[in-house]
Amino acid sequence: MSIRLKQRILCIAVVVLTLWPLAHHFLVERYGLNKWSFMGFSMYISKRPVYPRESIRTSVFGAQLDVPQQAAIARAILRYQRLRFEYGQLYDPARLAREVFEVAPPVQRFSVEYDVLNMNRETAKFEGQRVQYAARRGAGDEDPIWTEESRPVPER
Amino acid sequence: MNHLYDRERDGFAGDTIVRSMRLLLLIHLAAGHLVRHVTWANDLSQSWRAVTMGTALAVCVATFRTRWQRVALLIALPLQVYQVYEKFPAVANHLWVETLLLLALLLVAEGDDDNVLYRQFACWLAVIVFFYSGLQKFWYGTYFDGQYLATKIALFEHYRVFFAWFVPAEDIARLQSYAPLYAGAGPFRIESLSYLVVVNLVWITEIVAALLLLFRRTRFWGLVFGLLVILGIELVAREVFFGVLYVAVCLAFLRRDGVRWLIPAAAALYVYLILTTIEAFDWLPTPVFYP
Repeated sequence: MSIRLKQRILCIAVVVLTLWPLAHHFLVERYGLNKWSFMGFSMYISKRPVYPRESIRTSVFGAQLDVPQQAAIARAILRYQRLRFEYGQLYDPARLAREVFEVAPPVQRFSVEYDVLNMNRETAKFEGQRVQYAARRGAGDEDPIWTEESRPVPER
Repeated sequence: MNHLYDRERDGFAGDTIVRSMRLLLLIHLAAGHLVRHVTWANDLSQSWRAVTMGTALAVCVATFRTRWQRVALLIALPLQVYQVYEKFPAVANHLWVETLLLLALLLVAEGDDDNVLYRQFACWLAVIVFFYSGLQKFWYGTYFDGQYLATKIALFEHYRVFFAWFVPAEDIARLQSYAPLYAGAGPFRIESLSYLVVVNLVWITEIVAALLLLFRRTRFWGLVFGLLVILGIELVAREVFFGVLYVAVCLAFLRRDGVRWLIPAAAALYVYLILTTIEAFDWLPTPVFYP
């Protein structure tokens, strides 16, 4: 490979590295992406949200589930929490409903509730949001119907 | 590209930085794989543990023969890509920097032109990372009143040890009482002037170092400020692996190959840290560190 081509490749890399953090900042502000991720050089700028494990409550309706199905649902919920946090509004919450109904065919409807703690920059205090996600199987081949709402958690 | 390192104006006299950086990166990657994927608790399957262990050892062996080092980088590449894939999108900055350096070192050879090219890339990388690390902290504003680092003080002993120099004991005790975090925990504010000065110096120094590095006349002080930031990170956050790698990147600003002087110290440090993660060496003082 000629030195000129190598120089061109590294030059493009430098330009991309210079411009990307600006785009990263825009995406974080506009879509709520995780500030720490996606190579924006913005690690250690804010406390990552806290998801208290004990706050997760799952209700499943339709049939008795075997242990592997219960485990698969638990994994799907944790993945949904993680990806929702990483991708912000760019994550499609319908994916959770589709995944749960796929791994546990007897389930007709389910709901998940969990808390997220974030630090308010102005008050420097942690504020909690309780997220409630509910989904039911669509009729026939239709997509599942889901809702996702959040409300403040009372301060301790 | 040549704004930060110009062959004629910077007095280039032929050097070996590509060779040294290749060796350092191989040692760094092998140690990192051993610590992250083998000796530390993780959820890798047994087969992946065997693959990572095998690759890390192959890379270790290859570091002893110059002619094998390029092959070792090629062996390390898929493992590095796998790590990025496995963690994506939550990939730490140092993993990105490792990957970028690995790709750059695979691209360049050992001729004079290639040495200059590597230096130019490393210099730009140093400036970009410093500048945006500081600017992002400024944009998000959690350093102005020290809120972010106050959460760290609340949660981690090694942050408390360092900040005990600047924060009154009663404030540290108050912050500690908020852990584990709950709705309403806080305020994560500390009134101490010395704390606020130190905390705000972090982002200011990062931006100033990047700007000083841009100009030949101020480059020396840019390097000094940059190395001070890294030292600060090591004292507080203990990101040892990032620290070693980033010092090596910054040394590209020196006219001579400074990386080769870093190699023995880095190798000794990594060996020590790996030993501390092995049960048989429990008697060694174990520092808190993050790979």
